[in-house]
Amino acid sequence: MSPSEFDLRAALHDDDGNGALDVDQLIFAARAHRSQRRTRILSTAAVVVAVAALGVGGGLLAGQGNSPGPTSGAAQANRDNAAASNGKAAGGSGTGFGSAGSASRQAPAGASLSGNAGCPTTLRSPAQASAASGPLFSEPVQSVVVCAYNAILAPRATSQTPRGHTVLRGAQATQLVNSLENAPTRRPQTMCPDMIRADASRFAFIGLGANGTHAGTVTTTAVNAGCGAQITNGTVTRYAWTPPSSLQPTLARLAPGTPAAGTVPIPSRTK
Amino acid sequence: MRDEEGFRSFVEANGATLLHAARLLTGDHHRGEDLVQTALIKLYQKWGRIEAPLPYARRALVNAHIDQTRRRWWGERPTETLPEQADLDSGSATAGSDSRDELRRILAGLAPRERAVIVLRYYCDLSEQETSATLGMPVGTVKSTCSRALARLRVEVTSGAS
Repeated sequence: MSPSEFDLRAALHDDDGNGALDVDQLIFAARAHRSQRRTRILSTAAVVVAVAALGVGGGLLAGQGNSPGPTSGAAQANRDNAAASNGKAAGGSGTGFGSAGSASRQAPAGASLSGNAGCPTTLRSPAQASAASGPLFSEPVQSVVVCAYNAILAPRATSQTPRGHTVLRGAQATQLVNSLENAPTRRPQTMCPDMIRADASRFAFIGLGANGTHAGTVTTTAVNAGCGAQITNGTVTRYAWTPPSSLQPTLARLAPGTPAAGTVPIPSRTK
Repeated sequence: MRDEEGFRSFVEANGATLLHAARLLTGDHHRGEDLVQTALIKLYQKWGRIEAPLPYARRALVNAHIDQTRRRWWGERPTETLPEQADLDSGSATAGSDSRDELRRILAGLAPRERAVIVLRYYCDLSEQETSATLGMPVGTVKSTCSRALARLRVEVTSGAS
């Protein structure tokens, strides 16, 4: 026997219509199913949100733990744009260049920095430096932040506020760095007067590399009219440094006691 | 708020047909009821967002049936101790000795997709295009599947008769 389509249809339709569905039970089951589904979705969403919150919170806490201060965000931005912002701050009041955060990030050991354009508030004394040879800056310097200070500390003062600061870039920065690096590595035989003029100045030169990275900070002793200064980065020391003649007007504006252009150091006495 | 009255009307009008189709697909009365409930719950979730409830219900029915026949690691597992036997004499679709019952018994032996094609084509009276749309397969596949299923039915019926 081979079933025809008619037989097949008849067989399939046999008992057709028997049985009825309970719609109320069906709707109740559908509502329960929907409720379970929503609960499951909400639970999953809650877990995802909790995990995300934990991740973000942990990341923020880790970021705060690694940053040097509360202005770490500004410090990062300033570090990235340090070279570009250096010029804008030239001659300004200290609001254009750097910040406490960037200064702290780039500060070498042994020099505490303030929020005043990244200038240090304490300068190394010459006795702290050894006479090791080598470069004063750790990498090629593209710009230099020049901070000027009074050579004489106020009584009982432990820190200094820079009297002024400026930024040198390009040829001026190169001239300054060359003069620093080419200063004598040995103490000169000539003697300088121990007396420091009241308007004498000390400087701190903060070298910045191409990307605004800190290349080193060089501090000077009092720059007197008649004698060169001793300069050091804390490890390497140079002697009898005098500012390049082309930069002396700039430095003189920052620190009136700086020798004017054309001044020739005159040894006062000899050993 | 869903149009619950519309859903009730739909179930009252088409519930029995869907239930019978589910019984044909599963070959079992109770599994058919479970299957149609699953399909109608899916329909209830989508009610108000679908334009053609009956094709949707048919498709949900067939998909749920094919999905249930897939082996899953969390599904039914073979066991040495058989569960309580169903009473085959209580009007089960697989019982009986006349030709119609024989046809339905043979139908239960087809592959799920072949069974779905046969039920949709010869019980729901869908065209090949409608069957194709319901099953989500090309019309050519519907034709070949239907042809293969009918050939198997003929062979089974002929061998059973001889």
